[in-house]
Amino acid sequence: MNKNLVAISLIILGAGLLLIWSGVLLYDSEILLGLVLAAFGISNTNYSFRVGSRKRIVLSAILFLTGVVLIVKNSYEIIDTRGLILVSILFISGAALLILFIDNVKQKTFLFSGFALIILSCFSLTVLKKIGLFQWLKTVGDMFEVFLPVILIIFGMSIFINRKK
Amino acid sequence: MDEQNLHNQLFGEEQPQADPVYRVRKLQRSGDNVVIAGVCAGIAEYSGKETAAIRVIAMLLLLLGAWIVAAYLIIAFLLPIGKYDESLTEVETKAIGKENFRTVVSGLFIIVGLHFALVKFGFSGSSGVFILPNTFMFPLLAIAGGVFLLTNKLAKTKIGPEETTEFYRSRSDKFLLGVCGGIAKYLGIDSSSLRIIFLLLTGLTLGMFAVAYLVIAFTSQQEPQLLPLQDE
Repeated sequence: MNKNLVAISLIILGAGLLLIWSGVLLYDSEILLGLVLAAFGISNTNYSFRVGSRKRIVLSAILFLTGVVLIVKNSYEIIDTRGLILVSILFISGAALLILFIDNVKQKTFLFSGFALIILSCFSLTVLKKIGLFQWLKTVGDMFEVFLPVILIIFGMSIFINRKK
Repeated sequence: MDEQNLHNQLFGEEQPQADPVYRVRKLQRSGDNVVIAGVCAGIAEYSGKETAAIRVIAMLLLLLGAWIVAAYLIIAFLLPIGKYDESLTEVETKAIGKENFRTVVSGLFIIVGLHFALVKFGFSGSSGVFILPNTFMFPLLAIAGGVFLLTNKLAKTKIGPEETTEFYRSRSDKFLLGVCGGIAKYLGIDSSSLRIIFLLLTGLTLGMFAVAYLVIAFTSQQEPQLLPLQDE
Protein backbone atom coordinates (compact mmCIF):
# COMPACT_ATOMS: atom_id res chain seq x y z
CA MET A 1 0.00 0.00 0.00
CA ASN A 2 1.12 3.53 -0.67
CA LYS A 3 1.43 5.05 2.78
CA ASN A 4 0.58 8.58 1.63
CA LEU A 5 -2.54 7.37 -0.19
CA VAL A 6 -3.72 5.49 2.92
CA ALA A 7 -3.04 8.56 5.06
CA ILE A 8 -4.90 10.96 2.76
CA SER A 9 -7.85 8.55 2.46
CA LEU A 10 -8.05 8.20 6.25
CA ILE A 11 -7.98 11.98 6.74
CA ILE A 12 -10.69 12.54 4.07
CA LEU A 13 -12.82 9.77 5.61
CA GLY A 14 -12.38 11.16 9.11
CA ALA A 15 -13.12 14.76 8.06
CA GLY A 16 -16.17 13.64 6.04
CA LEU A 17 -17.52 11.56 8.93
CA LEU A 18 -17.08 14.52 11.28
CA LEU A 19 -19.04 16.73 8.85
CA ILE A 20 -21.80 14.10 8.66
CA TRP A 21 -21.85 13.80 12.46
CA SER A 22 -22.13 17.56 12.87
CA GLY A 23 -24.93 17.69 10.28
CA VAL A 24 -23.06 19.89 7.79
CA LEU A 25 -22.83 17.14 5.19
CA LEU A 26 -26.14 15.42 4.49
CA TYR A 27 -24.74 12.14 3.29
CA ASP A 28 -24.88 8.53 4.32
CA SER A 29 -21.65 7.44 6.03
CA GLU A 30 -21.58 4.19 4.02
CA ILE A 31 -21.72 6.16 0.75
CA LEU A 32 -18.81 8.29 1.95
CA LEU A 33 -16.88 5.11 2.87
CA GLY A 34 -17.69 3.72 -0.58
CA LEU A 35 -16.45 6.88 -2.30
CA VAL A 36 -13.21 6.89 -0.30
CA LEU A 37 -12.66 3.17 -0.96
CA ALA A 38 -13.32 3.58 -4.69
CA ALA A 39 -10.99 6.59 -4.97
CA PHE A 40 -8.29 4.88 -2.89
CA GLY A 41 -8.69 1.61 -4.83
CA ILE A 42 -8.27 3.18 -8.25
CA SER A 43 -5.31 5.36 -7.23
CA ASN A 44 -3.60 2.45 -5.49
CA THR A 45 -4.18 0.17 -8.50
CA ASN A 46 -2.34 2.68 -10.66
CA TYR A 47 0.46 2.93 -8.08
CA SER A 48 0.68 -0.87 -7.71
CA PHE A 49 0.97 -1.34 -11.47
CA ARG A 50 3.94 1.03 -11.44
CA VAL A 51 5.54 -0.70 -8.43
CA GLY A 52 4.74 -4.13 -9.88
CA SER A 53 3.28 -5.77 -6.78
CA ARG A 54 0.57 -8.26 -7.74
CA LYS A 55 -0.97 -8.70 -4.32
CA ARG A 56 -1.39 -4.92 -4.07
CA ILE A 57 -3.01 -4.79 -7.51
CA VAL A 58 -5.53 -7.47 -6.53
CA LEU A 59 -6.27 -5.89 -3.15
CA SER A 60 -6.70 -2.43 -4.69
CA ALA A 61 -9.07 -3.77 -7.36
CA ILE A 62 -11.12 -5.53 -4.66
CA LEU A 63 -11.25 -2.33 -2.56
CA PHE A 64 -12.31 -0.24 -5.57
CA LEU A 65 -15.17 -2.58 -6.46
CA THR A 66 -16.22 -2.94 -2.82
CA GLY A 67 -16.48 0.85 -2.73
CA VAL A 68 -18.65 0.82 -5.86
CA VAL A 69 -20.90 -1.88 -4.32
CA LEU A 70 -21.27 0.20 -1.14
CA ILE A 71 -22.24 3.29 -3.15
CA VAL A 72 -24.78 1.34 -5.24
CA LYS A 73 -26.23 -0.48 -2.21
CA ASN A 74 -26.88 2.75 -0.36
CA SER A 75 -27.94 4.86 -3.33
CA TYR A 76 -30.68 2.57 -4.61
CA GLU A 77 -33.35 0.59 -2.90
CA ILE A 78 -32.20 -2.98 -3.15
CA ILE A 79 -34.64 -5.43 -1.65
CA ASP A 80 -32.56 -8.59 -1.90
CA THR A 81 -29.27 -7.83 -0.11
CA ARG A 82 -28.20 -11.49 -0.14
CA GLY A 83 -28.53 -11.60 -3.93
CA LEU A 84 -26.40 -8.45 -4.14
CA ILE A 85 -23.70 -10.06 -1.98
CA LEU A 86 -23.66 -13.18 -4.17
CA VAL A 87 -23.43 -11.18 -7.41
CA SER A 88 -20.82 -8.83 -5.93
CA ILE A 89 -18.56 -11.62 -4.66
CA LEU A 90 -18.62 -13.32 -8.06
CA PHE A 91 -18.10 -10.10 -10.01
CA ILE A 92 -15.35 -8.71 -7.75
CA SER A 93 -13.44 -12.01 -7.75
CA GLY A 94 -13.79 -12.22 -11.54
CA ALA A 95 -12.50 -8.67 -11.90
CA ALA A 96 -9.56 -9.42 -9.59
CA LEU A 97 -8.61 -12.40 -11.76
CA LEU A 98 -8.97 -10.29 -14.92
CA ILE A 99 -6.66 -7.66 -13.51
CA LEU A 100 -4.10 -10.39 -12.86
CA PHE A 101 -4.39 -11.24 -16.56
CA ILE A 102 -3.87 -7.56 -17.47
CA ASP A 103 -0.76 -7.57 -15.29
CA ASN A 104 0.65 -10.62 -17.07
CA VAL A 105 -1.12 -11.30 -20.38
CA LYS A 106 0.77 -14.57 -20.86
CA GLN A 107 -1.29 -16.14 -18.08
CA LYS A 108 -4.49 -16.95 -19.99
CA THR A 109 -5.75 -19.04 -17.08
CA PHE A 110 -6.69 -15.83 -15.21
CA LEU A 111 -8.61 -14.58 -18.25
CA PHE A 112 -10.69 -17.77 -18.51
CA SER A 113 -11.39 -18.06 -14.79
CA GLY A 114 -12.16 -14.33 -14.49
CA PHE A 115 -14.61 -14.50 -17.38
CA ALA A 116 -16.21 -17.64 -15.91
CA LEU A 117 -16.91 -15.81 -12.64
CA ILE A 118 -18.21 -12.66 -14.34
CA ILE A 119 -20.51 -14.73 -16.59
CA LEU A 120 -21.74 -16.60 -13.51
CA SER A 121 -22.46 -13.28 -11.78
CA CYS A 122 -24.51 -12.14 -14.80
CA PHE A 123 -26.32 -15.50 -14.97
CA SER A 124 -27.12 -15.40 -11.27
CA LEU A 125 -28.98 -12.13 -11.92
CA THR A 126 -30.95 -13.44 -14.90
CA VAL A 127 -31.29 -17.15 -15.67
CA LEU A 128 -30.44 -18.53 -12.24
CA LYS A 129 -32.72 -16.00 -10.53
CA LYS A 130 -35.63 -17.24 -12.63
CA ILE A 131 -34.88 -20.83 -11.64
CA GLY A 132 -35.25 -19.78 -8.00
CA LEU A 133 -31.64 -19.41 -6.95
CA PHE A 134 -32.35 -16.51 -4.63
CA GLN A 135 -34.99 -18.47 -2.69
CA TRP A 136 -32.52 -21.25 -2.22
CA LEU A 137 -29.87 -18.72 -1.33
CA LYS A 138 -32.13 -17.33 1.39
CA THR A 139 -32.65 -20.77 2.95
CA VAL A 140 -28.94 -21.65 2.83
CA GLY A 141 -27.99 -18.12 3.95
CA ASP A 142 -30.24 -18.37 7.03
CA MET A 143 -28.61 -21.67 7.94
CA PHE A 144 -25.13 -20.32 7.24
CA GLU A 145 -25.80 -17.27 9.40
CA VAL A 146 -26.46 -19.43 12.46
CA PHE A 147 -23.16 -21.28 12.13
CA LEU A 148 -21.08 -18.39 10.75
CA PRO A 149 -19.67 -17.23 14.15
CA VAL A 150 -18.55 -20.77 15.02
CA ILE A 151 -17.06 -21.30 11.54
CA LEU A 152 -15.14 -18.00 11.72
CA ILE A 153 -13.82 -18.68 15.23
CA ILE A 154 -12.71 -22.20 14.26
CA PHE A 155 -10.98 -20.90 11.10
CA GLY A 156 -9.31 -18.15 13.13
CA MET A 157 -8.10 -20.59 15.80
CA SER A 158 -6.76 -23.00 13.19
CA ILE A 159 -4.74 -20.23 11.48
CA PHE A 160 -3.46 -18.99 14.83
CA ILE A 161 -2.34 -22.46 15.93
CA ASN A 162 -0.60 -23.11 12.59
CA ARG A 163 0.88 -19.62 12.26
CA LYS A 164 4.50 -20.84 12.55
CA LYS A 165 4.20 -23.72 10.06
CA MET B 1 46.22 -9.69 27.81
CA ASP B 2 46.41 -13.48 27.29
CA GLU B 3 49.95 -13.54 28.73
CA GLN B 4 48.71 -11.69 31.79
CA ASN B 5 45.92 -14.26 32.24
CA LEU B 6 48.41 -17.14 31.93
CA HIS B 7 50.70 -15.51 34.51
CA ASN B 8 47.81 -15.02 36.88
CA GLN B 9 46.70 -18.63 36.47
CA LEU B 10 50.24 -19.99 37.02
CA PHE B 11 50.96 -17.92 40.09
CA GLY B 12 47.48 -18.15 41.49
CA GLU B 13 46.82 -14.47 41.37
CA GLU B 14 43.22 -13.49 41.14
CA GLN B 15 42.05 -11.78 38.01
CA PRO B 16 40.42 -8.40 38.44
CA GLN B 17 36.67 -8.90 38.15
CA ALA B 18 34.92 -7.01 35.39
CA ASP B 19 31.91 -5.00 36.39
CA PRO B 20 28.73 -6.98 35.73
CA VAL B 21 26.72 -5.70 32.77
CA TYR B 22 23.10 -5.05 33.55
CA ARG B 23 20.78 -4.97 30.59
CA VAL B 24 17.92 -2.56 31.08
CA ARG B 25 14.79 -3.63 29.26
CA LYS B 26 13.41 -0.62 27.53
CA LEU B 27 9.77 -0.28 26.54
CA GLN B 28 9.88 0.73 22.89
CA ARG B 29 8.16 -0.03 19.59
CA SER B 30 9.67 -2.93 17.75
CA GLY B 31 11.82 -1.95 14.78
CA ASP B 32 11.70 -5.21 12.87
CA ASN B 33 8.48 -6.98 13.90
CA VAL B 34 5.89 -4.54 12.63
CA VAL B 35 2.27 -4.84 11.49
CA ILE B 36 1.05 -1.27 12.04
CA ALA B 37 3.51 0.55 14.30
CA GLY B 38 5.22 -2.25 16.23
CA VAL B 39 3.49 -1.45 19.55
CA CYS B 40 2.30 -5.00 20.32
CA ALA B 41 5.70 -6.49 19.44
CA GLY B 42 7.38 -3.85 21.64
CA ILE B 43 5.14 -4.74 24.60
CA ALA B 44 5.79 -8.45 23.98
CA GLU B 45 9.58 -7.91 23.87
CA TYR B 46 9.41 -5.92 27.10
CA SER B 47 7.19 -8.35 28.97
CA GLY B 48 8.77 -11.51 27.55
CA LYS B 49 5.44 -12.78 26.22
CA GLU B 50 4.72 -14.02 22.72
CA THR B 51 4.01 -11.26 20.19
CA ALA B 52 1.20 -13.14 18.43
CA ALA B 53 -0.71 -13.58 21.70
CA ILE B 54 -0.41 -9.85 22.55
CA ARG B 55 -1.61 -8.95 19.04
CA VAL B 56 -4.68 -11.19 19.23
CA ILE B 57 -5.54 -9.91 22.73
CA ALA B 58 -5.25 -6.30 21.47
CA MET B 59 -7.56 -7.12 18.56
CA LEU B 60 -10.07 -8.82 20.87
CA LEU B 61 -10.13 -5.70 23.05
CA LEU B 62 -11.69 -3.94 20.05
CA LEU B 63 -14.91 -5.73 21.02
CA LEU B 64 -15.08 -3.47 24.08
CA GLY B 65 -15.04 -0.30 21.98
CA ALA B 66 -12.88 2.08 19.97
CA TRP B 67 -10.83 3.19 23.00
CA ILE B 68 -8.23 0.50 22.21
CA VAL B 69 -7.48 2.22 18.87
CA ALA B 70 -7.05 5.54 20.68
CA ALA B 71 -4.78 3.89 23.25
CA TYR B 72 -2.74 2.22 20.49
CA LEU B 73 -2.20 5.51 18.64
CA ILE B 74 -1.24 7.37 21.83
CA ILE B 75 1.27 4.65 22.79
CA ALA B 76 2.65 4.66 19.24
CA PHE B 77 3.14 8.44 19.41
CA LEU B 78 4.84 8.28 22.82
CA LEU B 79 7.15 5.28 22.45
CA PRO B 80 10.42 5.53 20.52
CA ILE B 81 11.16 3.09 17.71
CA GLY B 82 13.60 0.31 18.58
CA LYS B 83 16.70 -0.34 16.50
CA TYR B 84 16.21 -2.27 13.30
CA ASP B 85 17.97 -5.62 13.47
CA GLU B 86 20.20 -5.57 10.39
CA SER B 87 21.40 -9.11 11.08
CA LEU B 88 18.02 -10.56 10.10
CA THR B 89 18.29 -12.64 6.95
CA GLU B 90 15.75 -12.58 4.13
CA VAL B 91 14.37 -15.96 5.25
CA GLU B 92 13.92 -14.74 8.84
CA THR B 93 12.24 -11.54 7.65
CA LYS B 94 9.92 -13.57 5.45
CA ALA B 95 9.10 -15.92 8.36
CA ILE B 96 8.27 -12.96 10.63
CA GLY B 97 6.09 -11.42 7.91
CA LYS B 98 4.26 -14.70 7.36
CA GLU B 99 3.64 -15.22 11.07
CA ASN B 100 2.42 -11.63 11.45
CA PHE B 101 0.05 -12.00 8.49
CA ARG B 102 -1.39 -15.24 9.90
CA THR B 103 -1.78 -13.69 13.36
CA VAL B 104 -3.68 -10.70 11.97
CA VAL B 105 -5.91 -12.88 9.75
CA SER B 106 -6.64 -15.28 12.63
CA GLY B 107 -7.37 -12.34 14.95
CA LEU B 108 -9.75 -10.84 12.38
CA PHE B 109 -11.62 -14.14 11.95
CA ILE B 110 -11.94 -14.61 15.73
CA ILE B 111 -13.04 -11.02 16.37
CA VAL B 112 -15.66 -11.05 13.59
CA GLY B 113 -16.92 -14.46 14.74
CA LEU B 114 -17.14 -13.32 18.37
CA HIS B 115 -18.85 -10.08 17.31
CA PHE B 116 -21.56 -11.98 15.42
CA ALA B 117 -21.95 -14.42 18.32
CA LEU B 118 -22.26 -11.60 20.89
CA VAL B 119 -24.77 -9.72 18.71
CA LYS B 120 -26.80 -12.92 18.36
CA PHE B 121 -26.93 -13.26 22.15
CA GLY B 122 -27.92 -9.61 22.56
CA PHE B 123 -24.59 -8.18 23.74
CA SER B 124 -22.94 -5.19 22.13
CA GLY B 125 -19.66 -3.36 22.72
CA SER B 126 -19.34 0.00 24.39
CA SER B 127 -20.84 2.80 22.35
CA GLY B 128 -18.20 5.32 23.25
CA VAL B 129 -14.71 6.19 24.38
CA PHE B 130 -14.98 7.69 27.87
CA ILE B 131 -17.85 10.17 27.44
CA LEU B 132 -17.49 10.62 23.68
CA PRO B 133 -19.64 8.56 21.30
CA ASN B 134 -17.99 6.19 18.78
CA THR B 135 -19.57 8.14 15.90
CA PHE B 136 -17.45 11.11 17.00
CA MET B 137 -14.36 9.18 18.06
CA PHE B 138 -14.02 7.08 14.91
CA PRO B 139 -13.54 10.09 12.57
CA LEU B 140 -10.99 11.55 15.01
CA LEU B 141 -9.11 8.26 15.11
CA ALA B 142 -9.15 8.04 11.31
CA ILE B 143 -7.67 11.56 11.05
CA ALA B 144 -5.10 10.77 13.75
CA GLY B 145 -4.15 7.57 11.90
CA GLY B 146 -3.75 9.53 8.66
CA VAL B 147 -1.58 12.21 10.30
CA PHE B 148 0.46 9.47 11.98
CA LEU B 149 1.13 7.85 8.60
CA LEU B 150 1.92 11.17 6.90
CA THR B 151 4.44 12.16 9.56
CA ASN B 152 6.31 8.95 8.77
CA LYS B 153 6.22 7.60 12.30
CA LEU B 154 6.17 3.98 11.21
CA ALA B 155 9.02 1.60 11.88
CA LYS B 156 11.17 0.32 9.02
CA THR B 157 10.03 -2.71 7.09
CA LYS B 158 12.11 -4.73 4.72
CA ILE B 159 10.84 -5.26 1.20
CA GLY B 160 9.97 -8.90 0.63
CA PRO B 161 11.48 -11.16 -2.00
CA GLU B 162 10.60 -10.83 -5.68
CA GLU B 163 7.45 -12.57 -6.88
CA THR B 164 7.55 -15.37 -9.41
CA THR B 165 6.78 -14.53 -13.06
CA GLU B 166 5.02 -17.75 -14.06
CA PHE B 167 1.85 -19.20 -12.59
CA TYR B 168 1.82 -22.93 -11.89
CA ARG B 169 -0.35 -25.17 -9.78
CA SER B 170 1.76 -25.96 -6.75
CA ARG B 171 3.26 -29.41 -6.43
CA SER B 172 4.46 -29.09 -2.84
CA ASP B 173 1.80 -26.81 -1.29
CA LYS B 174 -1.42 -28.52 -2.29
CA PHE B 175 -4.63 -29.77 -0.77
CA LEU B 176 -6.65 -30.80 -3.85
CA LEU B 177 -5.12 -29.65 -7.15
CA GLY B 178 -2.63 -27.07 -5.91
CA VAL B 179 -4.55 -24.04 -7.24
CA CYS B 180 -4.57 -22.05 -3.98
CA GLY B 181 -0.92 -22.91 -3.34
CA GLY B 182 -0.04 -21.74 -6.85
CA ILE B 183 -1.99 -18.47 -6.56
CA ALA B 184 -0.45 -17.81 -3.11
CA LYS B 185 3.06 -18.30 -4.51
CA TYR B 186 2.27 -16.17 -7.57
CA LEU B 187 0.94 -13.30 -5.43
CA GLY B 188 3.41 -13.76 -2.59
CA ILE B 189 0.75 -14.31 0.08
CA ASP B 190 -0.02 -16.99 2.65
CA SER B 191 -1.59 -20.12 1.15
CA SER B 192 -3.52 -21.39 4.18
CA SER B 193 -5.29 -18.05 4.69
CA LEU B 194 -6.12 -17.92 0.97
CA ARG B 195 -7.54 -21.47 1.19
CA ILE B 196 -9.82 -20.50 4.07
CA ILE B 197 -11.01 -17.33 2.30
CA PHE B 198 -11.64 -19.45 -0.80
CA LEU B 199 -13.68 -21.96 1.24
CA LEU B 200 -15.75 -19.16 2.79
CA LEU B 201 -16.42 -17.57 -0.61
CA THR B 202 -17.40 -20.96 -2.03
CA GLY B 203 -19.90 -21.36 0.80
CA LEU B 204 -21.28 -17.84 0.37
CA THR B 205 -21.76 -18.30 -3.39
CA LEU B 206 -23.42 -21.71 -3.06
CA GLY B 207 -20.42 -23.47 -4.57
CA MET B 208 -20.29 -21.28 -7.68
CA PHE B 209 -16.83 -20.07 -6.72
CA ALA B 210 -15.56 -23.61 -7.21
CA VAL B 211 -16.10 -23.13 -10.96
CA ALA B 212 -13.19 -20.66 -11.00
CA TYR B 213 -11.09 -23.20 -9.11
CA LEU B 214 -11.80 -25.87 -11.71
CA VAL B 215 -11.20 -23.47 -14.63
CA ILE B 216 -7.82 -22.48 -13.17
CA ALA B 217 -6.98 -26.13 -12.46
CA PHE B 218 -7.73 -27.27 -16.03
CA THR B 219 -6.19 -24.31 -17.86
CA SER B 220 -2.91 -24.12 -15.98
CA GLN B 221 0.12 -26.33 -15.76
CA GLN B 222 1.52 -28.03 -12.74
CA GLU B 223 4.79 -26.77 -11.34
CA PRO B 224 7.68 -28.47 -13.16
CA GLN B 225 9.37 -31.14 -11.12
CA LEU B 226 13.01 -30.58 -10.33
CA LEU B 227 14.97 -33.65 -11.43
CA PRO B 228 18.33 -34.50 -9.86
CA LEU B 229 21.32 -33.78 -12.09
CA GLN B 230 22.74 -36.90 -13.77
CA ASP B 231 26.36 -37.42 -14.74
CA GLU B 232 26.84 -38.03 -18.45
